[in-house]
Amino acid sequence: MIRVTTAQQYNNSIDNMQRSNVSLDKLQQQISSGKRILQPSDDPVAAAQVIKLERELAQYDKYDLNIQVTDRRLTLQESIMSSMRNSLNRINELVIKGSTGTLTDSDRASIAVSMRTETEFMASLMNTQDSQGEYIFAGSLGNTKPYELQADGTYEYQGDDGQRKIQVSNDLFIPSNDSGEYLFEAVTSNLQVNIKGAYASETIVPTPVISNVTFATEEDEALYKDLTQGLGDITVVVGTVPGPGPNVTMTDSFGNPVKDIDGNDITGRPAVAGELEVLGMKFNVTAPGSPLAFPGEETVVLHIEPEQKNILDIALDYATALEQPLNDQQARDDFAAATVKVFGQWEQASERNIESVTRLGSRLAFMETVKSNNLDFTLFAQTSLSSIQDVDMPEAISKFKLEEITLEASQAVFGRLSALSLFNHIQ
Amino acid sequence: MAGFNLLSIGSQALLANRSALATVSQNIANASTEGYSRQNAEFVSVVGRQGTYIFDIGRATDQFITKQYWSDISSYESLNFQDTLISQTDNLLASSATSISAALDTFYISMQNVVDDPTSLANRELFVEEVAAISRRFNDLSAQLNVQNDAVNATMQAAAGNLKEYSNSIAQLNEQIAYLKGRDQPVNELLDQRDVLVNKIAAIVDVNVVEQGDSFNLFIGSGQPLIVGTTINEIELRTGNPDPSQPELYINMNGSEVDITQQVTGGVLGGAKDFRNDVLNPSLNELGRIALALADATNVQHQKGLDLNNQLGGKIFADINDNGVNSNRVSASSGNLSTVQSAYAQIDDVSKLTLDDYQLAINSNDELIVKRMPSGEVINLTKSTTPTLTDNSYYLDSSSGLLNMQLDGISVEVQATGYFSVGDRFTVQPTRHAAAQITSEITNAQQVALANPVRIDTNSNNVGSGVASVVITDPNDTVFDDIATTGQLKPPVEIVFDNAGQYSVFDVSNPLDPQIINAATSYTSGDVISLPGYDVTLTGEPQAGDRFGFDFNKDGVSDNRNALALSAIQSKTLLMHGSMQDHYSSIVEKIGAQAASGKINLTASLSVLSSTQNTLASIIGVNLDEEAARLVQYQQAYSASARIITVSQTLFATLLDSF
Repeated sequence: MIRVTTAQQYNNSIDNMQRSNVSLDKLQQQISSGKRILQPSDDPVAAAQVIKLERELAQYDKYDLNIQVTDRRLTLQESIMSSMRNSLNRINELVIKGSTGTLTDSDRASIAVSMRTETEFMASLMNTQDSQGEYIFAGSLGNTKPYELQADGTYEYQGDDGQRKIQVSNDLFIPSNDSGEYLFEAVTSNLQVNIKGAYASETIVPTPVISNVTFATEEDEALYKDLTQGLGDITVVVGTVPGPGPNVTMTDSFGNPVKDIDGNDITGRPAVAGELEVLGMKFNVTAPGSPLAFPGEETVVLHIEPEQKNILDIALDYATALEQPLNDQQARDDFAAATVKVFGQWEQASERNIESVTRLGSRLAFMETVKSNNLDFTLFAQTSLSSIQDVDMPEAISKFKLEEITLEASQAVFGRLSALSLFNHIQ
Repeated sequence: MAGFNLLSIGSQALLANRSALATVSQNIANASTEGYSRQNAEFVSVVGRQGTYIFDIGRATDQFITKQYWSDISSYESLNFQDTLISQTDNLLASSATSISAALDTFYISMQNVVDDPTSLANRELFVEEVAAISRRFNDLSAQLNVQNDAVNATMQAAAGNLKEYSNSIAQLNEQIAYLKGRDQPVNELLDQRDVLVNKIAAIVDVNVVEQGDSFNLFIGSGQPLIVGTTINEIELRTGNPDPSQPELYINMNGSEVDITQQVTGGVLGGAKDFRNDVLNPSLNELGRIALALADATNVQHQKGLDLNNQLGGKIFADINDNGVNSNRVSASSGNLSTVQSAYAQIDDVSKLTLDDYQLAINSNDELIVKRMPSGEVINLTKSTTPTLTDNSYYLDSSSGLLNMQLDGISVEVQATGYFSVGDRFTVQPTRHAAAQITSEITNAQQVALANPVRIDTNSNNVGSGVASVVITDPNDTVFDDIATTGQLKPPVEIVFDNAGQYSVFDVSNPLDPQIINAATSYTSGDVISLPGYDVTLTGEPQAGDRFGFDFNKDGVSDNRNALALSAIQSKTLLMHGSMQDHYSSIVEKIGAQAASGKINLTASLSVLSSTQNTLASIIGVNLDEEAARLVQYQQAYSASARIITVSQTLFATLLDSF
């Protein structure tokens, strides 16, 4: 027979009421906080998921912030580029106006003044600083003013081609700036020749085996570009055998002979009176080992590439041309040539401007897409988070009600039980 | 004679029933006394109608259930003790106010601000502040866990003290009971008291009770005798050796002292041991491991950057292998015969760090025995003949007192003054104190190195689509030696493509006379070109004549490449099983799971305990209704016995009257 002791009866009743109280307290906390998981042990797997989801949300917040910052910078750039476009158009009008043959020298001079003013305005746009004082078109050199007027009256780019990338989504980085090198150094000008070899500088005497490389005309430059396209740097070897004068052999960057306009290899081509004209170039050849040449060095590398000019210099060049009085045929011819050139160059500059604005626009549009994608992800994460950690109110409330009834019943039973005693009946 | 016999029976019955009434009263009086076993008077009739007497005052008991009860108490108390503490730990780790994961999010958001706008001094200042804040967060959380450790230690201290006291009392009771029993004196209440004392001991530690005659012999741990008869083996809690934060439990058996810390199970002491081994120390170690990963990865990456003053980056956090910090990881046992001259444990690779501590013991023949703690698993290491080690090996020369060991991403060196003796012990804790020790070192916002020190100049006349990127491999390389003086790399480099799809690397210290460094190499997109100090990666399709220049990034204040690399650390797999936050959430999950299963076990253990308690109570406990009935029964029997005497008297009077 199971005996029940008096102490047991009391203890059990107390235990039961205690349990109900604990469970009521927990339900009360859940209901008032709205959270199902009050501490990780309530549901460890869900708790870990909550941490991960919160991390994800923090990350998307961060991306959103990045998008805002990038958006601000790019929009600023866009508005400057649009002002630039207006200036470009105005200068274009001035060029058209200035090139009209019926103008007097003083008319052209006043147009030149307008051009210089407009150029100064453009330079100020290109030197735009953001609120932090950072030059936005200087590439990575944000503390360096990118366009500084030089002593020779030209503007020289002081920045670099650095682009700052900003993370806008997992594994997605968007450049938040464009450098002046890309935006404004947009016009290809004449070919520039660099002779590279084992001599320290061009001032050294005696001269290298090849010197004074020049292109007489634009056609010559075009010819050179055409014939050497895709060959890379040209290596030039000057030989003395068979003689009498020095001869020239040219190879491309891989080592194959370079062919001239007639399709012949330029190999052992003799220089006439120390000069040679080939591939549109004209240059002096000095026999290696001769008293005038750099001792023992018979090879040089020609690195020839077009000079990149910025739009300010182009405009200033034409302003200078406008300022020249057209008092003889030579001056008129020069001016005509300058006009042809400036139209071509200005077109290049405008194209780069349009290209960059298009790129900017697509970048901004892309960010909008990314932003809305991120928003979707955020929403998804928030929904999951809520389904994991939020309390199901109707369920919690009905549980609370049930527990309340249980506790009331226990209390009632306890009251009755404690009244039961045989001693009450023994007289 | 019949009448006289009646009188004798009547008076005997009176005495017996009075005694029975006294027993009932004793039961009623002790209805609420803990551990009281109800007593009952055992009547025995005297042969030949000679009446009755109380043979014995019996004590309701069941040794089997009682023993079950003790073991249930031990497991319940152990789980209960752990439950309270684990919930605290778990809340500490997960609460957003103390969580490291949330703090890391804040830290990386502030880093993102400098990524967005590296020239802003305000953002840089904020970042420097956040470096200090995250360090403090680690320090605080580690301090709070240490507070828990102190609480555990205090409980262990109190428990050990009580254990000693209760043992003394039981030994005394053993003696008293034997003495009284020998004189046929009642001992029921003393037996009850002794059982209750065992209850209390069971709440402290799992105890095995062996009855020997009238004595209780108590054994704990893996069979270490606590009490044998009246002999007590003293229990003592001592300051941990070599780690003072981990006190050890010693039992003194005939003068030889045995460390039974890891052997005890059940009760508060067992619970404390389990909590320390399974929750607290792994949490501290994991926190430390995350702190080490953060400090190391951030420092390494930051040192590859360039600050606003055109200098290479310094340290963001204090170096993880600073002197003092690394020697703090090794401690020598105070029982060692050797004296340590210098000792350190250096972290070589955080990604290999485990959560273990290591115990090193010098054995004979210059052998080293290395165990993982707390599991005690012995690690097989190769013995090397030179102090220059590879992974999983050690070098030991006891005569010159030099010990080297390399495993799990750490290298340890202990140099003794003189020589090592067999039995010398050392404990290595690579991660334990790291969370408490992490501190910020950077103070000047100008010195936050956000730019990459190598500038890439993609020639604007390039016709191909090639793109170059640079990753710094060694900021200490001589290539960066002259940046302060010449403002150039040593040397500046140019990569040029030829018309056969090959590239060559040139030293362009003199731009007019480039010197070839790497001869023509055929190109595929994604090629990595390793140059001194940095790696160049080329992608896309470059064409003949395309060139990429690499020089010092002087004044590159707007460059954020190193900032991007720093912020990428957040999601990098720095540690064994993932990123820092992966590790953090897994420890929260692990401890949460332990807390949850602990709660389930606690509930189960509680219901087992109360079922046993009910069974035991139903055998030994007092029911007042029952006692009331007995009270009536004995009272009536007493009245009846008195009546016997009256009858006897009447009989005697009748007899006298008849004469």
